[in-house]
Formats: sequence, structure tokens, C-alpha cells
Amino acid sequence: MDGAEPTDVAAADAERCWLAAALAGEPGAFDRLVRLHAGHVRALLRRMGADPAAADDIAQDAFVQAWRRLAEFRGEGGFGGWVARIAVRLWFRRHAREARRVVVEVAAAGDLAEPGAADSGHVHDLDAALALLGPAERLCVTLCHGAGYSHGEIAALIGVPLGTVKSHVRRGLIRLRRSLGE
Amino acid sequence: MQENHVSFENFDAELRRRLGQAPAYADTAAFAARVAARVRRDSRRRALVRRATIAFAGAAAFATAVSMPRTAATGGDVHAAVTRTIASLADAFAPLAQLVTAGDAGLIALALAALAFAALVRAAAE
Repeated sequence: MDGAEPTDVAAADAERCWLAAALAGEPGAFDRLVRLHAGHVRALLRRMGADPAAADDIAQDAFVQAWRRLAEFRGEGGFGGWVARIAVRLWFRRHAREARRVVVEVAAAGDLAEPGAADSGHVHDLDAALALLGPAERLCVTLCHGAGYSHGEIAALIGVPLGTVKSHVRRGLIRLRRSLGE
Repeated sequence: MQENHVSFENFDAELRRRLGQAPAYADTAAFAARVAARVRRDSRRRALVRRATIAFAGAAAFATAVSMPRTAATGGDVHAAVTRTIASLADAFAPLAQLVTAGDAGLIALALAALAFAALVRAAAE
């Protein structure tokens, strides 16, 4: 990110204006922020493995929480990134046990060399390729590359060893490259 | 489809870029409308709880002041007791604002009003 495109700068300025307006209680300002970032937050949750209805429920909760805590937002990582992190925390609050089970069980049974569904053919669509990954790989790759979490943060969120997360991310990336037609 | 294709020259960076892009869901307007409705409901509920907190902090502070032993109380004692009461009520209500519905807040308000009134009656009877 050496230099932002002019359109990015304009978008960031517009976002700051809407944030200030939302904090001042201007009707419609928060709605514009929701429209701007809803797609990213909803897609992130779906890519983590939530079904569309559950993903939308959690995304709504995340935006409502963001609205309540708007005064706490310090601007780091952008508003969309902040809401995405709230959404990820909410998802883990509801699915922590399930996520831990999936990640730990797959780690125990997994074998990097073992061919999976994702290796069976080439696809061109990123979401289709993600859908072919195992749930643990998809979750870890999405959190790491889609939401900007470090491996350590993911390990702490799920409650599994750091090595397990690293292994899922590595395996997921290898399978993604294969399925996307390297 | 071309839009979704991931280049392999810098796979990690390209994957981050693609995963960071927001798909244009057709129902974004409906989603935003649902969020707006929830925000409005939440605002009303929090405003109600805030009003209830203020009203009952006032009632409890009044009851505290009235029920203090008159011989022992100085102006400073009364002020300190009232301040403590208001602070503890505010602390107690802060987490409630996240949890209670508007109906719950009304019931809590009624219950606290009854308690404050009872304290007032007891103080007057002494």
C-alpha cells in the first residue's frame, strides 16, 4: 500500500464524513456506512463457513454493536475492518465449540499429501475454490487472508495451538493454488 | 468470472485483495433497512432505560437523604450518601441497558419506584 488511488482517498474521506455525521446523530449517515461495508462483512462470515441466513444475522448484530460503540472507533483499519472484527468475535461467541472441534479433529486426522476434493479439478472462481476446502482450512485462510488476523490471533480466538492454525493456513493455501489451476 | 480469477504471480497478496473485496449482494438495501430498524429499536430502548435510570436515581437519592438520621447528618454527609447512591445505581444500570427490552425497563422502573416509595414512607414514619 505505497499510495492510495485517488478514488480510495475520496472514499476514505467520505467514510470519515459519514462517521462524523453518524456520531452527531444525523439520520442516514450510519445507513450509508452499512451499505458500504455490508457486502464485505456478510461475505467474510459466509466464507468462514456460516450459512447465508446465519451470516446475515451475525452481520446485522455486528452493525448494531458498531453503532452502539461508534464513539469508541479510533479509525485504525477502517470502519469495515472494525465491523468485520466485531462480526468475527460474535461468530466465535456462538460457534467457538464447533470451530474448535472442527479445527482440532481435522488437524489430528489431516495429512497434507492426502488428495482432497479441492485437488480434483481446476476452478476459476475464488469462492468456489474456498468452498472446496475443508472447514478448518477455509476458516483459517479466510481469517488470515480475508480479515487480516495473525496466526496467533486466530489460535487465541479458536483456542487451539499456533502450529495447528499455521498448518491449516498452509494446507489451505496449497489446496487453493491447486484448485485455482496453478 | 474473469473478475474472480486469482493471479499466481503474487498469490498471497492477490488472495488478500480478492478476499477483501465486497461482493455486490442484490439485497444490500434490504439488509441495510433491517439494520436501520434494529438500530432505531435499540435507540428507543436505551433512551427509555436512561430515563428510568435518571428518574430512579433521583428517587433513591431523595429517599437516602430523607432516611438519614437527622441528628447525625451534616450537609456533607447527605451529599456524600446521595452521590454514592446515584453512582451505584448508574453502575447497576449500565449493563442492563445492553440486555433489557423496553417492557423489562418499565417493570424494573416500577419495582424501583415501589422500593423508593417504601423507603420514603419508612423514613417518614421514624
